[in-house]
Amino acid sequence: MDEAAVSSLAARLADAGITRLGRSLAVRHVDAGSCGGCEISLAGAVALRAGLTRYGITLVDDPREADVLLITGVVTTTMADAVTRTLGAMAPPRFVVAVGDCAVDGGVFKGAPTVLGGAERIVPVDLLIAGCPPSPGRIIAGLVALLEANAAPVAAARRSSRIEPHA
Amino acid sequence: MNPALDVAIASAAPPGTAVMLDAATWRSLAAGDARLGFVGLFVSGGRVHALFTDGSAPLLLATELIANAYPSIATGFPQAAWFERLAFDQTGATAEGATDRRPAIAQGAAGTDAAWPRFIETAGEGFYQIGAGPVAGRIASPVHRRFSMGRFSMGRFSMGCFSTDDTRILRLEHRLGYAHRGIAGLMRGKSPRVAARFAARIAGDATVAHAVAFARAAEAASGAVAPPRAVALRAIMVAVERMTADLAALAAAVAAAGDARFATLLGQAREQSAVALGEAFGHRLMMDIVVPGGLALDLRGDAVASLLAALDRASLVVRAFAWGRVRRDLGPAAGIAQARARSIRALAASVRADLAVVPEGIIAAALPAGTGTALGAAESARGMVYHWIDLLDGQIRDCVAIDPSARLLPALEAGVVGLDPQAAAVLIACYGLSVGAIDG
Repeated sequence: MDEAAVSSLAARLADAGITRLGRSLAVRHVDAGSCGGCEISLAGAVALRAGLTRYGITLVDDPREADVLLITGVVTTTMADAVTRTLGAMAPPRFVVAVGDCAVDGGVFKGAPTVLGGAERIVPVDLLIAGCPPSPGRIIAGLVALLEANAAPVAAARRSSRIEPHA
Repeated sequence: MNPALDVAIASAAPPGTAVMLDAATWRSLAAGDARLGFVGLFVSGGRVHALFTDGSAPLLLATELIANAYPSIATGFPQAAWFERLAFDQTGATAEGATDRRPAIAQGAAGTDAAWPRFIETAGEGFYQIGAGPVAGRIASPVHRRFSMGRFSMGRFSMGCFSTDDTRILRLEHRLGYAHRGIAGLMRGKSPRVAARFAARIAGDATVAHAVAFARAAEAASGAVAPPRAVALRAIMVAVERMTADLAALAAAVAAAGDARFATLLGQAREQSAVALGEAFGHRLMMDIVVPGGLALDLRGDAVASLLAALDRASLVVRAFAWGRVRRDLGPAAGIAQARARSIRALAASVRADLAVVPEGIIAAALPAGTGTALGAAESARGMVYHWIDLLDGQIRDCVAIDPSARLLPALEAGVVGLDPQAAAVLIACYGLSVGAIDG
């Protein structure tokens, strides 16, 4: 993940006035019409020893406890409703991450009659992770960037007001 | 047992070309035939085609549509029911005498879901339904599963005494179409070379199988022959993909059964294979490497060592399987899991042997602009994948992809009857079906 993307994301989040998510992320995955390739990378990102869990990022079942909606696949006309409803069930602050070329802009299916296109066609997207499919490393880097962008103000605040118990 | 059918089958030459049947002979298929294994059914060019296998070679039977209709064969071959519903959604051709007329993938008119498959109602005290999806599970699959639950009685005498935990699955139904991208429609009018990118994205866990089946069909229809090096490397790629898909299905099954540690080990072995394949073929899933005419990229010789290491890791993890415990944990899925584990070790050994004898030479041949129809097949972890192609001057007039997921779905639906939801989740994971491949 290049630093420019991370810093621009951090700036965007600061502009939006969104306050911290803390030091962990709960991710709700939705397959909006994928071939299953991005899910293999996502499974890899979970299984890896230096994977998502190590950074405090977990996949969750319940959208109500999720901070991040992770969308894979091109949004088909039949899945659009399920995607927007899942986001609707999530409490703010919430973020949307589009993973894979299909979710980024429709990929090879762009313009097909039975699809709407990338995730941005139906929900606001905060982070795009391109690739067909992106490697687990890129998914981890993207989500960690999102985590760090949000945890930074918290860490700074803690440092300034921290009282050392054994000082 | 069916002389007219026997004569027609005997006339099939070469294998894979459609054998035209008259209406009466087609109708006789509704009685079933023990020698024929059903593979798929599709409508194209004013004909309905049924693809079977007689154990060794594929057999494609066809008959002309009459008033855009044909006699249903679902009474003889129950797995044909899904394909008959799909054919109606896609072409409007009706199967006469079909009992199941629910839509397969077509959504209802203008935002309503009235035309979706109607779940068979269960009524009475103690009966209820559980709906799951299209957003369910940590890594979701775009399908809705409806479990009809109730007291499951093995005999009529057990109905009298029941406790709360003899509630079992009475029926499982799938509502599909959420992942319908219209892939066949996108491939029509294009050259096989361009359309290969879509064939590779029917199912990510069987991208090589679909790409090879499509390429073989395109090559047969164009009169092209892939060079020996491409043929040898394709066989290796198909085998490695099967092994990785077996690992993924096994990992999902043991994860569903609650063995997180073993699932992680299997997942890591699968991930190591993906990394090695990325080095060896330039793509983690070997997507877009197989093209009609041969291969787009050659195997990188210096990456063979890491590929072999990944194969060894996979064999080793599977060998460490505590089969007694797995049999207990996986329940009815244990048989399939054991077959997958055996397959992983056999495939790893065969790939190791095949990698040593890959011939040198070019990896792609030119694909002349051909006209004609042809069938191609390749093995996936689910079974044989078939592609049928109809070329006109080098352009795809029509094409059909048949993934084993569609014909395994009824088997899965029957297999979970009598189980509790937990055991059903294990069996569903072990089947490793691709919803995207069914929806197309």
